[in-house]
Amino acid sequence: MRAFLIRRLLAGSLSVIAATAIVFGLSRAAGDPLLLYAKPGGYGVTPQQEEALRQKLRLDRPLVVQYLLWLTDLARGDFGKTLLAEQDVRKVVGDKLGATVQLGIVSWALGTLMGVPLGILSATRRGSFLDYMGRGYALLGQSLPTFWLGLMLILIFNSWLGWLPFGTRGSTDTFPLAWENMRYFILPSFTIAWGAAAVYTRLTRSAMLEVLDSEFIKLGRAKGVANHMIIWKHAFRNALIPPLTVSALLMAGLITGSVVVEVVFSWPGVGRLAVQAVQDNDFPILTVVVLFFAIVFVSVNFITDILYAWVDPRIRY
Amino acid sequence: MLKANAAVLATVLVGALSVVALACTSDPDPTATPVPTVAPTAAMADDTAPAPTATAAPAPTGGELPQSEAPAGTLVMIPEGVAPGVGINRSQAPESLMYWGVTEQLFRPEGESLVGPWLAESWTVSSDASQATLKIRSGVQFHQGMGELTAHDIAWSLNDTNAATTPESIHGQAGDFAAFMDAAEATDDSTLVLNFNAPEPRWTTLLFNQAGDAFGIFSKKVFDERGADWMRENIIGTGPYEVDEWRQSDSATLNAASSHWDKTANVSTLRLIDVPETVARVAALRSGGADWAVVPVREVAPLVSDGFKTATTGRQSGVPLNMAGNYWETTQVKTGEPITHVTFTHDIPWIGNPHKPDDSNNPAGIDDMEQARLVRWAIAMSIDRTLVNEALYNNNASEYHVGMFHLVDQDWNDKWRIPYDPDEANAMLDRAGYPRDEDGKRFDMPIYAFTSVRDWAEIADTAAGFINELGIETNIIRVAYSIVRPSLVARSTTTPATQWCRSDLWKPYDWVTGEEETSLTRGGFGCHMEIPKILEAVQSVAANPDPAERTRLNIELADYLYEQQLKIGIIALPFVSAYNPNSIADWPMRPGPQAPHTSPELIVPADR
Repeated sequence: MRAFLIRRLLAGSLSVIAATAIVFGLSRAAGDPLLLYAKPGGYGVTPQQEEALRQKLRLDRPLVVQYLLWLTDLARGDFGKTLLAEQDVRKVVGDKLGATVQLGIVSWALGTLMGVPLGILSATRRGSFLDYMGRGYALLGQSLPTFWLGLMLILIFNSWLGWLPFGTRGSTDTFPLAWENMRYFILPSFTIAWGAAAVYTRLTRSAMLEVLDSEFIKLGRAKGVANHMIIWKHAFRNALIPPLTVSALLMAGLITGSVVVEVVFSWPGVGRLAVQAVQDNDFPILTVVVLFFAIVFVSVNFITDILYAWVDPRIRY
Repeated sequence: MLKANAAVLATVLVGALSVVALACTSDPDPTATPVPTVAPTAAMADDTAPAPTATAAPAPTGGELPQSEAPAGTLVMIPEGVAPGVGINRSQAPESLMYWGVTEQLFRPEGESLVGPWLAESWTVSSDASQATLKIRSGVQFHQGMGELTAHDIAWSLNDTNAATTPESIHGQAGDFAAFMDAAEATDDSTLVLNFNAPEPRWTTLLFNQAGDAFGIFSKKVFDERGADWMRENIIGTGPYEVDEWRQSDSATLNAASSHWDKTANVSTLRLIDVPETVARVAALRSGGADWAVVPVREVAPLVSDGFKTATTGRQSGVPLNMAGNYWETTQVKTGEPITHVTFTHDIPWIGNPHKPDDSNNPAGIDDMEQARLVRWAIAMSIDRTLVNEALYNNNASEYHVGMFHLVDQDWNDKWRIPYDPDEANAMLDRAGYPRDEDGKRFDMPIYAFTSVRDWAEIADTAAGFINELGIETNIIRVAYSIVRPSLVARSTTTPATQWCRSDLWKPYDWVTGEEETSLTRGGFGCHMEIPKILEAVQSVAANPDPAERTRLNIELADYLYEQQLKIGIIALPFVSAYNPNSIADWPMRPGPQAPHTSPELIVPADR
């Protein structure tokens, strides 16, 4: 186990470094970053300005050297400055991280709480109206575009009914878990959770059906074990691996992939920042955001591997 | 085991949520410091350019409007976006600081004139136009008790912006300033001297004016005492609003300065929120979640009919189809170096090659320049601008015919209207030597649709629909602007684009227009073409002190552009905002051809 964990840690670290190296290289391939300053509506960059900026941004050095210097600075805790406003990247990204992580975790929890029970219900009442509803939701949930669902929720619950707010994440002056702020979570987290819950429903249902058809479940029923014990203790535990796997990936995906929802709900998160950084070719921001995304994915996968062994004693590394 | 695991998982989840939530609480707000009141002083104005005309909106029919959700004394505003909050010019302090009344400028519109006094009380220009001397207003205080504004602050702010004096400046106007100005000087606390090295008649109307671009006027003392890094994170202006909090792409809170030298704001707090999705903006306005919002033109009529009111500075953006690749200049005007052309490698129907006018596919008696001109004219005539305005914008936009010259202007001449005539357009393409093949197709033409503005992408789609009818098979390209930008800077693009450039913003006809359509801006952004006639007009207008003569020169340019159809106008979109009359009784914005909104201190709140 220890050797496995060390191997995974090393591989994860290499993956993170490789991801940043690729983004670093691609950001230069998208064009000279100095072009960012040659914006519409002006005389552009003077030769003296260009020389000064190239030196300041180290663009006069080879790409590999630029990357190594960036890594060195990173190791010292210096994340660099944004191209557009010359602000501390750590602060700019850090200001957005909380919003994205909060939304991701709340959406993940909501999706899990909605999807897993629905999948179990659907499996245990196979062929019933409830099962058809669950299967219908699983299909609809995965096929509805997030941006459309988000806009519909805004129209219905904000514009028509006036029940729920959106736009920013509430007041930054009050406790984040206060109702005044939590109200802002409802629409975006439900929008994200809608699709995630559908995945859970489908996966949990099929895993549960497979387990419920097993001989040991039939034996348990023949021995007169109570139905809720059969379902929750024996069947669900054995059906947990697929939802657990997808759960980890979903959490990572929800944290790193809620870009569309962040735009629709004006959620001030890293996703929107990343999109803007791509459009502006603001590579210092982009590289740090990718670093964060890569760390999230690698960490979540690492934790999932440990959880496998914890949940299912048959799994040994 | 399952129960134990579930319990641990739940605990971890709740714990993680709490830790993350606590980690994300904000810092306490800075405290505002009162500033003394100084009475405003009337002064001269030397320019009588007309104010722009706002597009008429339909009369409201009334309706039940929501009450604002914001507390009394606070208005929630949704601008186009919340830019990075930087308080120093060399790091590109955003223009929105001036538009939101945080910083102030030298001039602002006054009455019928675009140029009136603001921080500059009066000014004179030397007879050889090489120097301007400005008298700076006294008694203006910087926010947070940072002292009184002097001419030294303005000189420092200008030089901090100017690439000629601060080469590492990344301010949007760094190159503009360097193109006509050396270092600014303060001879005493109230006298500012500007040293010009080239003619630039727009310095009063555009570059140092509330109606136009905006370098910020910040405190030299703050820079000396606290440094650039501090100023990047803290915004200290002199305007009627102080920055309480500013979060890029999120929100900003502005508090009214308790007393201001000119006009103390009526609304105590403005809360700006960044809502990129236009549908969501309108929803916020309709639900009472916002009191004012920048809205798409198509939403104006329904909002007004439901009782909302509109406000505008008169800003209009013409959206043309820029017929890219026509790089006709031969030498770079600033350096005299010969230009290497890269867009004439293949014969492209809409690109005329003045350097090699005879090629293999020219019909008899028609050279490549005329052949391409006929193609451009055919494309221009295929677009039904009236229908575009009606179908997409409920007639709240205005037709755009000749790029750079707007129809909503006293100097507009109807002879520049491009008729909608598909039959004649088809005949022109036949004459140009591009007959239809058996499938009815003449040739392919890509169009770059500027994706960051939904309207422009839709206009590209609409124009493509008309152009396809001619047998020109269009292919709309939707990629991020950062992918296209290098070809504009390098002057290597051949893809027509629905992208407005500065020349497409509304401006009086006596202003210089079209620099970006020449080699003047080489090294920087170029608007798809370099045309000697435009360069000649830019230089002539810039050097001419007489507004009437400048107008005449630009009218000649309009004639030329009409003839050549290099920037095929499609539609001009007004920059409109809407507000809830339950929250705002009136917002009489000062006019601004380039400004999206101005003068928030003039907002009159509704009683609620």
